[in-house]
Amino acid sequence: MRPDVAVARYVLRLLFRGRLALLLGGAGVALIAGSFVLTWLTPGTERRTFFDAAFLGMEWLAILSPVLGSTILQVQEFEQRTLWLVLVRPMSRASFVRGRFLGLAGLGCGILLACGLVVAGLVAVSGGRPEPYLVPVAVAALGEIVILAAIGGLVTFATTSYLTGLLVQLGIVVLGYLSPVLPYLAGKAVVPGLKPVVWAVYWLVPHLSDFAVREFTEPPETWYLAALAGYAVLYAGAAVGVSAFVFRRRDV
Amino acid sequence: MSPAFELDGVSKTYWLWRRLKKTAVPGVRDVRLAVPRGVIFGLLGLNGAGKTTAMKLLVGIMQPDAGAVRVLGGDVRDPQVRAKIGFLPELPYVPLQMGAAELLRCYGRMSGLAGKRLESRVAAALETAGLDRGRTEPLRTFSKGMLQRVALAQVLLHEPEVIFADEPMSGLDPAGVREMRELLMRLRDAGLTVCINSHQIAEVERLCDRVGVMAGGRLVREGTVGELLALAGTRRYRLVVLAKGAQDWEIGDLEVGEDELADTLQAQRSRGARVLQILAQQGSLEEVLLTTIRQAGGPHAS
Repeated sequence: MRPDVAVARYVLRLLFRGRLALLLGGAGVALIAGSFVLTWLTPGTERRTFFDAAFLGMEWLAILSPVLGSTILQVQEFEQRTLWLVLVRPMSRASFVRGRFLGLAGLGCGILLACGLVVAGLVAVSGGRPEPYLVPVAVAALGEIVILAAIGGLVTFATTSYLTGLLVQLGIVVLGYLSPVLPYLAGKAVVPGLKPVVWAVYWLVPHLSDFAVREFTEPPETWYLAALAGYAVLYAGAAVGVSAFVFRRRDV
Repeated sequence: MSPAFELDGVSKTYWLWRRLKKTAVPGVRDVRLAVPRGVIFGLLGLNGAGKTTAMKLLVGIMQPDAGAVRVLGGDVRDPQVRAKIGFLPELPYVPLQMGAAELLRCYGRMSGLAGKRLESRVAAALETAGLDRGRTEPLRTFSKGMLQRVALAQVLLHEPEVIFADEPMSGLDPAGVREMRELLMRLRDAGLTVCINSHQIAEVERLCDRVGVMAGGRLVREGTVGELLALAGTRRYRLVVLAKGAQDWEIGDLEVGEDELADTLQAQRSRGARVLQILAQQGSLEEVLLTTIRQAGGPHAS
């Protein structure tokens, strides 16, 4: 077995045994079930209510699973030093970084898949027609998971405490959703030197607002989804590459 | 044949931020050491001497600022070299939510084991470490001694050629200490090289073939246990002295080093005391350690 796949399996086991996966999966199912209950309170717009709430829940799970997963890993690996017995194994640090990314992304994808199946099942049971936003929302959420799993790795390898790591990740998520307004803010900057900083932030943070497809007035076309997937893969690849570089010489 | 492991002019400095000021704390300084294969090597020193830093450099979880770390002739950063290394940390740093066999399977896969070979190695490692193969409960329910056994099992899992053990007896009961000692000796007899890092000088004296003494981040002495004991035996003397006290003659004793002996005898004679006996002391590794550290200007120099 390739060492990065072995690390990914180890990471998934850690997160499952640590009950994070069960907690997030349970939260996902509860959110979707809650969305279903919510429809009883909004007669006439049941379908819209259900999908809005369910998709919002899926999007939040897509954000939370890699952020919480990487924070829990940082506590265990660095603060409880379990990383020592992993890094003495015969694999390169780059393999470890890739494996950790695959494990974190795998966790998010598994939870998303479970949520997607529950939504599809509920639609089928209730005899409703297929929801055109389901596939676009799932693809966008997958993209977000891949990007945030890569950022989670980068941040935890570059910071020395889990609290700093968590705050930096949340900051990146917020900036990612605010990315469309950053060029406007850069144009308004009056403090010397601030404009290039804002532009640099704009180019560095992931443009997560582009992934909020549930807010689109029409379901996005296939080419848009392909572009989102391509952007996510490129962004995650770059972040994993930088993580491997940062972690190459870090002492643990 | 290349040495089992080698530190070639290795230095490592820790950088700490205190009140926005970067402070250098030396970990190890210009350490040169080559240990032959098939021995148990003990690294001795007081707290903060640099023993654990040296061990972390030797297993590759820390990287030197200067110099080279080689194990079995290869760079320790090379994964193929690390395939031949086992590391037992001072405390069992294992994820407590997993079961023992489950964790060993994960470590085994990362070490390149798979299928039936993985299963047989996991079973053998658990058995050698004295753990029940049927136990599936999470490690958080294990005692400290049992966790240390799990950590030991992961060392043996991939059949390493060189084992680095940081305080291997720490946390073990007397029976566990004895088992660990016998196991390390069996591994040495099977041709493995073992490097231990310990405060338990008597244990090191009993177990090790060669010993290195660290003080202030430097390796200040290295040799076989016999060589170091011989060094201690010729250096200390106990003098039994009869001297006039306030009211009557009193017998007392003095302990001096070889370099102080002549001056002490002269001083005793000039104050009218009679030296009744001069006893050459039986040397111990503890004396060697403390004398060496004193000579190196360590924290216990006075």
